Amino acid sequence: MRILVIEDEQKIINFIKKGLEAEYYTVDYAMNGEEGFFKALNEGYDLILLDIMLPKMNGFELTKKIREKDIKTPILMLTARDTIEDKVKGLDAGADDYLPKPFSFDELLARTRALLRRTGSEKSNLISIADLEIDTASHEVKRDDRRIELTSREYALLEYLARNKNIVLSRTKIAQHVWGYDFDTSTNIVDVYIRYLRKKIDEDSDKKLIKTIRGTGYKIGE
Amino acid sequence: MFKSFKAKLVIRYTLLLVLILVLFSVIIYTYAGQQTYSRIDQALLHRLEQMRIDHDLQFKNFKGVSGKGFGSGQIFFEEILNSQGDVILTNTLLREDKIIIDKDILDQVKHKPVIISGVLTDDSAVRIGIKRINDKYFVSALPLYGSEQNMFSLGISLLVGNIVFILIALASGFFFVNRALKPIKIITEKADEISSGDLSKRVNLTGPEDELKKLADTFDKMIEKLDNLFKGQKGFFVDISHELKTPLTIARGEIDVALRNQKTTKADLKNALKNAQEELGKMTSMVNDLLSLAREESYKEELSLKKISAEKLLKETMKKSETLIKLKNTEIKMENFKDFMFEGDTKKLQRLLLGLVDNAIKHIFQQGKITLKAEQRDRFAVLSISDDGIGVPAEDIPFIFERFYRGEKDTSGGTGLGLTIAKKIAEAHGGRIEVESIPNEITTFSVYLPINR
Repeated sequence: MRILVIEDEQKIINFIKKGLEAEYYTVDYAMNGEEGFFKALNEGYDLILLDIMLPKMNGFELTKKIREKDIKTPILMLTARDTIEDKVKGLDAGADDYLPKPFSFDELLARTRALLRRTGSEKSNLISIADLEIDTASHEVKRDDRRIELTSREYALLEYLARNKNIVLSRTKIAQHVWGYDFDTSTNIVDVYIRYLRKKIDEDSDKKLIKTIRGTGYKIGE
Repeated sequence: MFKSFKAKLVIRYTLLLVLILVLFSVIIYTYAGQQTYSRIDQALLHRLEQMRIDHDLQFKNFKGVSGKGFGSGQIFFEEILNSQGDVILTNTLLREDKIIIDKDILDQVKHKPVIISGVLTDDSAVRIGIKRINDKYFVSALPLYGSEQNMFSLGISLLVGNIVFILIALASGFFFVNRALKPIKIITEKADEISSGDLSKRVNLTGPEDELKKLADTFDKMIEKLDNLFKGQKGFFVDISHELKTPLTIARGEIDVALRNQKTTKADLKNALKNAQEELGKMTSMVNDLLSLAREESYKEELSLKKISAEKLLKETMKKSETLIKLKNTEIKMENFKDFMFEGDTKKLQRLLLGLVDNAIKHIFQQGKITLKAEQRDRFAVLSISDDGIGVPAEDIPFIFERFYRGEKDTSGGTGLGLTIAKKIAEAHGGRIEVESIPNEITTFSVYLPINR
C-alpha cells in the first residue's frame, strides 16, 4: 500500500514515514502543494495524508483540484486547524477524513486502515480468500489456521493483491504501490517476490490462490 | 413614562412654555387693567375741571353728563358735599344711591383733586374723584362695570388661550422630539444587537450630516476598530495554537512511533527522545516569547525611563551576546562613535538589542560579521545592528515584524516572535525600527528612539 504524505514540516514527514514503513506501507512525500498535486496526479497512491497550511497551494485547494481530475484516492487531512468550520470545509472539498494535530500514531494507523478498507470490499481488518486470512492490523497471515511468516515486502505485496482480490494487477502497478517507484517494466523484481510469496502461501495447498495472467500481470482469488 | 429622556425633554420645555405664557398673560392683564384705570381717571380729572366751572355757574349744568374733551359722553355719578361730608346735592343719575366716602379721605383732599377706588351704596364698584373748592367737596364717580367686564373676558380669553396653546405645545413637542430622537432609538437598538456579540453589524445611519449622524458614524468607527481588534486577537490564538501544535505533533509522533514498533533499537529510541527534546525546547522558547510579547502588548509594564549612555548599552549587549556568538563562530564588534545620552528603559532596550543580535546570528553564515553602531540623528538616537548574512528579500520587509512571520526559505527555527517583541519595545519608547537589506551583503536594522521623551 503506497501512501503520499504532503506536509511542509520535514520533521513531521520523518516520523510519519518511519512509523508507516514499520507497518509495511510504502511512503512517498511532497513538501508543498504544487509538488503534492503533481505527484498525486501522475503516480498511483492508495492514500494521501494532507496538511492544510502548505506553501504554494493549500490543502483545501489541493483536494478540490485532485477531485476535479477525477482521482478518487482517499484523502486524510492532518492539520493543526481544528475548528468545526475547517473540518467542514476540508470534508466538503472532497477529503475523506480529518485528524487534528497533535494526533496519536495508533489513531492515524487505524484511520489509515479504515480508509484503505473503504476502497476495497472488506469491511473489517480481516481479508480472507478461501482459507487464507490476512489481518491488516496485526499483519498476521494464516492459511488453513497455520501461521505464515512473511518479510515486510512479501507482506506488503500480499496485502496489495488481497485488497484488490479478483482484479488483475499489472507488474508496473504492483511495483508502484508496493515498492513506491516507477520501475522499468523490464525488471523482474515483482516476479521474484511473487515466487517467494507462492512458496510460502500456495506450495503446501492444493488450491493455488496467486494466479499469473499471461501478458498482463497477477491476481489473487479462489 | 416620566423617566424617559423624551418625556423629560417635552415636560421640561412645556413647563418653560407655561411659565412664559403665564408671565405674559399676567403682564398683559395688569397692563390692560392699568390702561383702563388711567383712562377712567383722566376722564374723572377732566370732569372735575368742568365742575369748577359749573360751581361758578351755580350748578346750572349739574346734570352729570360731561361736555367736551376726553371722556365726553360718559355718565358720571356726582355729589356735592359740605365741609362736614354731608351730601348737599346729588345728580339725578344716582337716584337713591350714594357714593360711599370715608371722612378721613375728605380730610386729605386739599388743593389737588384725589382719585380713589370705591363703591356706591348699591355695592357697584366705581372710581371716585374728589375736588375741594372753598368749603365744599365736589365728588364725581365713574362706574367700573364695563371695564370690569372687559377685564374678566380678557382674563378668560388668556386662560383658555394658554390652555389650548399648552396642549398644542405638548402634542407637537412629543411629535417633534420623537422624530428628532428616532436616530437615537436606531443607534440604541443596533448597539444592543452588537453588544449581544455580533461585531460585524453597523448602525449605518442615513439622513442629514447632523450631530446624531456624526455620533452614529463615530460609533460605527469604534465598532470597526473593536471588530478588527477581536479578529486580530482570534487570529493570534489560531496562530499560537498552530505554532505550538507543530512541535507537539513532532514530539508526540516521535515517541509514539518509537514505542509502538517492536523492532525499535536503543539507538532509535535515543534518536526519538532527542528529537522530542528539541521540540520541547522550541516550545519552551515559544512560550517565553509569547509571555514577553503579552507583557509588551498589555502596556501594563511601565517603562522605567532613565538617561542612558549609548556606548554603555551597546557594550552590555555585546557582552550578553557572547555565548550566542560562539555557537555560530561569528564575530561581533562595535564601531567607534562619540558617546551620547538618551532616555530609555535599559532592561527593555537590552532585550530589544539582544533580540536583533539573535536574529542576525540566526541568519548569518559561519564566520559572519555583526556590527553595532550608535549615532544621533535630529532628535533621535539611532542604534543599528548590521550583518552580512542572507538578508531579507525586499518583498518580505513589510511583514518581518508580524508575529510568526518567517520568510519562505527561513530555516532558522526561530519562534517568529523575536522581531515582533523588538518592534513593540521600540514603539513603547515612541520609536520605530527600520530595515535595509542587500541579501548576502549587508542587512541593517536601525532602531530610532527619541532622545528626550
